[in-house]
Amino acid sequence: MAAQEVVAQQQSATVPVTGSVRRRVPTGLWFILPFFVLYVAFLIVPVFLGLGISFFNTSLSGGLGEFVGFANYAELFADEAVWDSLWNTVKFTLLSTPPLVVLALVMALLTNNAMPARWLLRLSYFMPFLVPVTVVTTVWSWMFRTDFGFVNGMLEAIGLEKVDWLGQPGTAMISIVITTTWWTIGFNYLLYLAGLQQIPPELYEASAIDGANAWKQFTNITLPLLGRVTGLILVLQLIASLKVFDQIYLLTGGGPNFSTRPILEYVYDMGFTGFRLGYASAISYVFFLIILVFAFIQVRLFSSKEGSGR
Amino acid sequence: MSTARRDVHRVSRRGLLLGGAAFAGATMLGGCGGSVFRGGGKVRYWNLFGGGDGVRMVEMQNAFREQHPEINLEAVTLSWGAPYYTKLAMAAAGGRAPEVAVAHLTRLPQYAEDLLDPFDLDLLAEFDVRPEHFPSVLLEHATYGDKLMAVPLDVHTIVLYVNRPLVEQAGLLASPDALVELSSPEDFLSALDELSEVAGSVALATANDTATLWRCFWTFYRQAGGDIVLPEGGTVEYDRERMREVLEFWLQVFDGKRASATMDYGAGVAAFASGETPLLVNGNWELPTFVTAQEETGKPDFTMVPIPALFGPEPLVFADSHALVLPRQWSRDPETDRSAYLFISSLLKDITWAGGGHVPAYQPLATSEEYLELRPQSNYRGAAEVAQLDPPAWFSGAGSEFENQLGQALFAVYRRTLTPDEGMDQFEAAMNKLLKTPSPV
Amino acid sequence: MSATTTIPTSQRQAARELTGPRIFTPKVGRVLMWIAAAVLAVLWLLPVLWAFDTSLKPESETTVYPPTWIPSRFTAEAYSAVLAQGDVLVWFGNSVIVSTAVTVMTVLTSAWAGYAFSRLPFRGMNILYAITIAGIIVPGNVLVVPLFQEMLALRMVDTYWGIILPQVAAPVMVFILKKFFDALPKELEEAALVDGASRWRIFWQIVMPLSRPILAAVSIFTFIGAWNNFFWPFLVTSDPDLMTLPVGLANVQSSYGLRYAQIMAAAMIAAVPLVVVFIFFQRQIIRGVATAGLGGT
Repeated sequence: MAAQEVVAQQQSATVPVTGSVRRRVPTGLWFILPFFVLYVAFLIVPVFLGLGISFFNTSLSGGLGEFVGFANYAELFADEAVWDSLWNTVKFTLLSTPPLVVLALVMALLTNNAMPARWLLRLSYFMPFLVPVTVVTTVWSWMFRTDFGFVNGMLEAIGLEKVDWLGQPGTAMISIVITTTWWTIGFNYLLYLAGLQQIPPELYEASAIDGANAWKQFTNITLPLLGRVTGLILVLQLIASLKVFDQIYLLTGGGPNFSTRPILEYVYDMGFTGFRLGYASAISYVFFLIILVFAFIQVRLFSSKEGSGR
Repeated sequence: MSTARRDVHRVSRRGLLLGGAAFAGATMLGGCGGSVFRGGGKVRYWNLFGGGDGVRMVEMQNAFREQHPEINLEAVTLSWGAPYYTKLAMAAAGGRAPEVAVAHLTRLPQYAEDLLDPFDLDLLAEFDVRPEHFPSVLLEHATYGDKLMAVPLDVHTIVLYVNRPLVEQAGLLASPDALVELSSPEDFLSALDELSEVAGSVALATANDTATLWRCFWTFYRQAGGDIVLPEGGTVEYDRERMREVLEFWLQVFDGKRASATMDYGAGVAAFASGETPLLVNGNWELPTFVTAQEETGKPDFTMVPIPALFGPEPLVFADSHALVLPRQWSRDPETDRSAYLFISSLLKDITWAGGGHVPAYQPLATSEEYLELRPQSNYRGAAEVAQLDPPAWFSGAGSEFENQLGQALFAVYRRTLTPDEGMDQFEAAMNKLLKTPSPV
Repeated sequence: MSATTTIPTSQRQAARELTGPRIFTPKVGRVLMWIAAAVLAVLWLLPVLWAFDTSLKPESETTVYPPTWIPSRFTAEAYSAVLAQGDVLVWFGNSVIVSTAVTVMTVLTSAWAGYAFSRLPFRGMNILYAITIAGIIVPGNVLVVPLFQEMLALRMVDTYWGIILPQVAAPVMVFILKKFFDALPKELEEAALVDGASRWRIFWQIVMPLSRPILAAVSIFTFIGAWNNFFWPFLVTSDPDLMTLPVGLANVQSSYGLRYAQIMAAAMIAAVPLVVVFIFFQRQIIRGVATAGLGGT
């Protein structure tokens, strides 16, 4: 009997992983359950529900509606507005990613060294990130007002002409990009700062001995060693840009003349303003698949970067 | 070692406390469906009156609260247009909509089927509100099958606000409440030219949101005899030549001196309120804004006149009607319903709303001495008879996709981003696409 | 290593003066860099400063053109008007309720799940883990239509739960916490197991205290995300009494009509909370970004 006890104790000491052998449900499952229930209910179920609804003419006001097979999908592929808004999303991504990455790096490089009031500089760059989108767009739509806005006031003060920032298709998207850059650069900035601080200073010392100047150090040491951070920032930035909605909806409402409307706002217009949840679901689903493909490619690129070593 | 033990105990207690607090909070939230901040047993009322008339509506709400302190009235104003209607629909779909809401009669088709509850005519009659108290044209729009789905509150239209001193200086003021006769587009354009000389600034203040652009367009297009027909499952029918005529007229107006296409709603109202702009074309609901400005600064000295008949013999003008509706609820409580009906009847009978510039729909009030004596409201009272509502379709109405699409095209044409022909093509394509879409109601 | 002993003293001294990477720039270069950084900072602060300035003006002077910084008098009347109206306070309260609930629930559920994935394997757990990780790629916004339909069916539209629950399941946090727990040495837990402690007790009394930094980072980021979340609360709440701060401000703009000073005042009130949070938790936030961004993927 004593031997059995010892054996049992040894067993539980060397195999501490699953709880008591007598329990039917593994402890791990209990720990996971709260998260997983919510995860299934509010992430997995919608994925399949969305697919399901997209085959019906579900309306906001009524129930499931009639079954229409692939009609919604056929309609969305022929719908110009789908491709226009998809293109707007891509345009937004292409325009906003470079400043958000490059300027963040510049800010990090500038404020990495000790300097007077550095905490204030850092706070200035990061603070907009803490502010909710409504405040951001309230402030910037106020800045961009054609008739009595601050930006136009400054432009005219230096002799330039007023610009109709939010009213012309050409400048509207640029205004959105400026606003977004101001708002979200803080996060990339922090990542770059952290990345810079991880670079061992001996590398710079060593290269200085070899006679490298600041520019050489930048291109041969700093940039390559920031590769991983840059890759991370790019991935996060692309994902965030593709699902843009908030600031465009609040700044221009997708206008002027739908020239800034991103795909998610078209989904909103179709599904909630236009009541056609079934159709909106089909569009969402196609967009979802596009993002999955993107993400898949990015993961592949990322892991191959890891594999190729630093 | 012992300090670590103490640490550990503190943390586990903290952990339990945290968990417990979360749990308690959760059960508390789980019970009530509504906000923790405002109590139950109330009449919730949503409206979209953010303009000058919003001030009057707030006065009416306060008057009601004073007269009936036992009823908890909770009023909210949401942004006009698509945001309001989308929110109303989503709330009604969710079954937690407000007891009473405002809706334009032109938007009723989308909501009447599934998102609204019908009125109980007997209960209404208890508060002295009967169908025969309303103009038949409004009643038609408000009735579905044999059920009354909306109670009309007013008829509202667009007018010309006239700055008396400036307009008189240009010799265009025939009397304190009327302009000289302008009966053609050329008359109007030369009048604007004279006014911009006198004022030294833009002659006509405007607004460039899609709704206002639509209204100004529709008024003259109807005057010219044009129409827009939206047959379900077919293609849009409209008069391209007349449309071009009106578009080119407005392009001549938006030449930067007579009027500016970049002027938005807020800027236009501010420009007229400052007393610097001779004319403003906008809805009658901005009346209180200028009354307030007059009280505070003495400016502007103004009146309101109907839009002149420039393109045809009759002064046809855009108009719509605000009505009160009962959004769908999972379950209706008779007590709350009674309070809601009482509130509705009080709004109908309150002349303050006419002070907001609107023409009352409730005939006992519209034909009363009190109202008939109001100036400048009586100047444009006749608009209710020549009212031109939006062409009927499930996607049409105030702030609808119809107005949005046409308004966007107008915006682009007046900004010279598109030619009138391109604008009309864009409008036509958008209408046909909407007509082909299966109606979700 | 031997190289350091051959670097001339003056250069080594210069190198030690800097706390960052030793990019050797002459004094002029450093001054220029500071000026550039300061210019950028001014640009970045400008919009908020301008909005703040506007909020302190009397209403009639907000639309003066060309714009001026100094009005005839500074006044806080816009703030008192906004606060008197009360809506902003209701939204603020809702934001506090929602953000706190989301943060507490997210941290708890993610920590439990992360711990299980790290220490408590069972048959089939790998599949569950793979499903969890797959969810990281799914951007939440794309699922709003079916999610709303689900809320309609569950009758949770316009309820606190409707706002809170979809925000709680956070596969990213589970992932981050799992990696953190993986890196914790197992000896303490194993010793406690030998003593007969249950996994539950071990979790609370041993693992949690050791995890304070990562828990702090997760909490703060979750709180910030929940506070600033717009799209989902925007969709699921139509009743203005339930709206969180960002949503209420956007929907009920016309409460303030065209009174720009009040609009800016409301915006300033909404901006303050998280800035305060940042000032108090600066270090954890910065460290959290570093850990999450660089310690894992």
